[in-house]
Amino acid sequence: MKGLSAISILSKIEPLLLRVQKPSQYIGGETGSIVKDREKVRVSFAFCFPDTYEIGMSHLGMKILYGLINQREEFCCERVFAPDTDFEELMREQNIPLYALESLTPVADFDMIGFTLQYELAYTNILNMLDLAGIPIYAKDRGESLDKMIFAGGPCVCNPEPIADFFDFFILGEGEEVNLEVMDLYAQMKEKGASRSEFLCEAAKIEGIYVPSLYYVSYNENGTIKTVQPLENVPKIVRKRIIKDFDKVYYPDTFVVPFTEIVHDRSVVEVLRGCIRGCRFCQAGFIYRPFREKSPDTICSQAADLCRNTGYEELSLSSLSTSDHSEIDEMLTKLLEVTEEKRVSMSLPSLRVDNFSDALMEKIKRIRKSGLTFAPEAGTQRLRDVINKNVSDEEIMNTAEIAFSGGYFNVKLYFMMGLPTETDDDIAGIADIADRIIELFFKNPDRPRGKMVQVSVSIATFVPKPFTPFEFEPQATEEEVRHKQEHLVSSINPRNARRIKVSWHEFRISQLEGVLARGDRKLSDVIYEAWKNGSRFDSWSDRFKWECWEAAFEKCGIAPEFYASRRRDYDEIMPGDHLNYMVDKSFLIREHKKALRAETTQHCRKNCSGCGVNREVGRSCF
Amino acid sequence: MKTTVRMKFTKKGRAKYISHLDLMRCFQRCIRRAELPIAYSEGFHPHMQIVFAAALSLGFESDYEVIELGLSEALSFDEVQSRMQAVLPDGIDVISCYEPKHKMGQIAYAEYDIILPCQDSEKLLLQWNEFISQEKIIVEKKTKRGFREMDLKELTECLSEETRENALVLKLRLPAGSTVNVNPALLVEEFRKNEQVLFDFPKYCRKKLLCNEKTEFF
Ligand code: SF4
Repeated sequence: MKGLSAISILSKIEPLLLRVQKPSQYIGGETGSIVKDREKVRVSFAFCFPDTYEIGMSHLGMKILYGLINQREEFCCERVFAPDTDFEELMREQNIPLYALESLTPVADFDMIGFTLQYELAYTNILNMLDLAGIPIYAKDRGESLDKMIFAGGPCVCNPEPIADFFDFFILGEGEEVNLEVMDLYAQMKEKGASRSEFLCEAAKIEGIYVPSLYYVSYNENGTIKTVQPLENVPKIVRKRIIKDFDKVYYPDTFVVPFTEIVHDRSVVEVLRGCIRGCRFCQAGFIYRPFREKSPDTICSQAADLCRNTGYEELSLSSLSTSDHSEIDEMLTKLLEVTEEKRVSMSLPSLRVDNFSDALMEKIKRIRKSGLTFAPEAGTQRLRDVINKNVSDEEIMNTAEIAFSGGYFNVKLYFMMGLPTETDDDIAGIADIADRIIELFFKNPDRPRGKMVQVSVSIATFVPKPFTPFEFEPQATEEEVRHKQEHLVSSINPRNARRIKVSWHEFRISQLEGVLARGDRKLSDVIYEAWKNGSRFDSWSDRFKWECWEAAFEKCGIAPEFYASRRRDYDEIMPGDHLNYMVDKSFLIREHKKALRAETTQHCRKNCSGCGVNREVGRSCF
Repeated sequence: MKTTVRMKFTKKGRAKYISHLDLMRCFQRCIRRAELPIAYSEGFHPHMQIVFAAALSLGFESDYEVIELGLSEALSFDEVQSRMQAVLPDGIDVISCYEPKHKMGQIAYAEYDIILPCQDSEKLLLQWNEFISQEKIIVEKKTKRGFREMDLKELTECLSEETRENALVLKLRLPAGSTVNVNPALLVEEFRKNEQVLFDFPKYCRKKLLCNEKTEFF
């Protein structure tokens, strides 16, 4: 399959494109896409998103790195997505290798091939993409030549062990600086004619680069990890990278604007990174520390550039919690001036319940009408204290009240099930919240007339993640989850049952996520087998096939429960313990103990709880 | 002062895979990027005043696409053309801007170049001539209410045939109005139904839009 040129890819795919859904996703040419003469660049980089175009194109990290790398004249960055099953079938039938969208060059002809790992359930897609590209799936089979260097970054890299066998290296933490450093190194070593292992040994010296083949993992008889030993002269512990001056960091002034509709089809400005809250279940809240924000002026000028250069009619803000921006009022006021002048509508996700002031609500009301979303996450105050989701009952009701007075009538609530220490009372509490919100609607004299209130309750199964205080906790088993679901349904007040819509995630998908999140290197073979059995797009419930995974676990002699539903001791070596995400293990243990006592921890701006990030960064966070 | 400008443009190369609906959205964004003083409709959800003439099938190229832009203030044709040209995606190029002459509803015909890649173009030409000189070419056309029979023979005007080394190139004129509309692919696929007829993936390009009197649509 190798050696096909761009022209021949084009002539091979043209007859196929009209036979597949949304053909424009496979042909590139969008405005904002950057096509360079590949003969003239020193390093070519294929940026792979292991999901479909409509999902991958919505991802902000890809837009940032795409712009950043292409800014450098001597590098080119092209985009690659997982083909949907209809096109994959035709590609395999016609021997068309996976190709990049800008120049329609086969992925196998790139120097560096980078994946972004946003969720564990995309792992089989990575294998499938490597296979479609004609690249050996296991890193050990790739020989000594320097080309086709396979690496990954993104949040899942905080525990990359389950996929360690497939990658040449990983990038830990924020990519804006380290991606360019590693490409510079690659350019030098390519021109020197270095071998693959020479390059990897050098790359491992860059802070934030983890080369898994240079670390040897041994296991205890009970299957837990005994040691992780560096084989060469590489750091024992690899530390993640962060951007110190977040206000000045590169941000693209335009995006690739797709022809076909994608999930988030709009301009996005990143307003802050990290989170001050410390919700104990939330991995993002720990691995993205410390908290940093952009000034309102920077945000506004980036928003104005993007609106002008993309032509998008909608702007949204990206962050873990926008309302924690220290100058939220000034920022929103200025932004609304920009967007109104440009006839751009603004959408505001992830605003926290406890931060909704009347004044802010007034501003938001002007721009948003259809519904309101909150995430109380747990049904009782006690359990919310356990998970450190500092939202009180009163605040939830208050927000609903303001929302109803403001003309909203659809409320969407997000909860988790299977949280540590959870009892049936906590589950019944979910039904109770939904019920009280409905009562509140009817009591509200200013409620929208002629509209019927609708509460959607969306329930995720809690998945313990590494680098959180709950990394020691077992995940709820199938029986436990089934019991909780039944208990919830029977707890709903029959009088309001038809105004409450409950939905949950499929148990097996959450369990698999749990296995992969805290898994070790023994899982690489399981993932390989599952892919061979036909697994891909595992996060899509209509494509997920548990049978493929079940057979794979069986063949490899591995029980998923070992990873998902086992309680870990504090002194057990976790698969990612040789990776430093700047948050101390002792802090996680402290937080875990507090959780079990249902004690809350104040947010970072109120009180530093000493997680260790400030020491690692070498300055205080606020 | 409100004015209306028509813009003729191409849709070629990768752009031919942009669906009609996506093209609409693409133009809306390009108009914003070009910062044209576009007029908006009245009402609660104002939308841009833009209208496309005669939708093009997905996968077809075109040298003759037309969009009409309602502007809220006058702007020279040159200015509209250069501002739009600067922001349009590859494959979509502005050919000209001008004042509307005909009503959109006057469009009645379209002319196409059809390239049929093949090994033996002389043989294919003979087969084509045989095919097109039949008395009737009856096909079923899907309509909103089931199927309807249609005689392509009486609706097709062959303007020219040309054999090239590895292709047969046909120039056809077909109805493209709101009442009668024939997609050239229908004819080509009918031709291909004969097992002896062998050609590769056909390429279509719309060359012209015409009014009832077969004069060019402006
Ligand atoms: S060092 Fe303190 S303020 Fe900084 S992130 Fe950790 S807990 Fe929060």
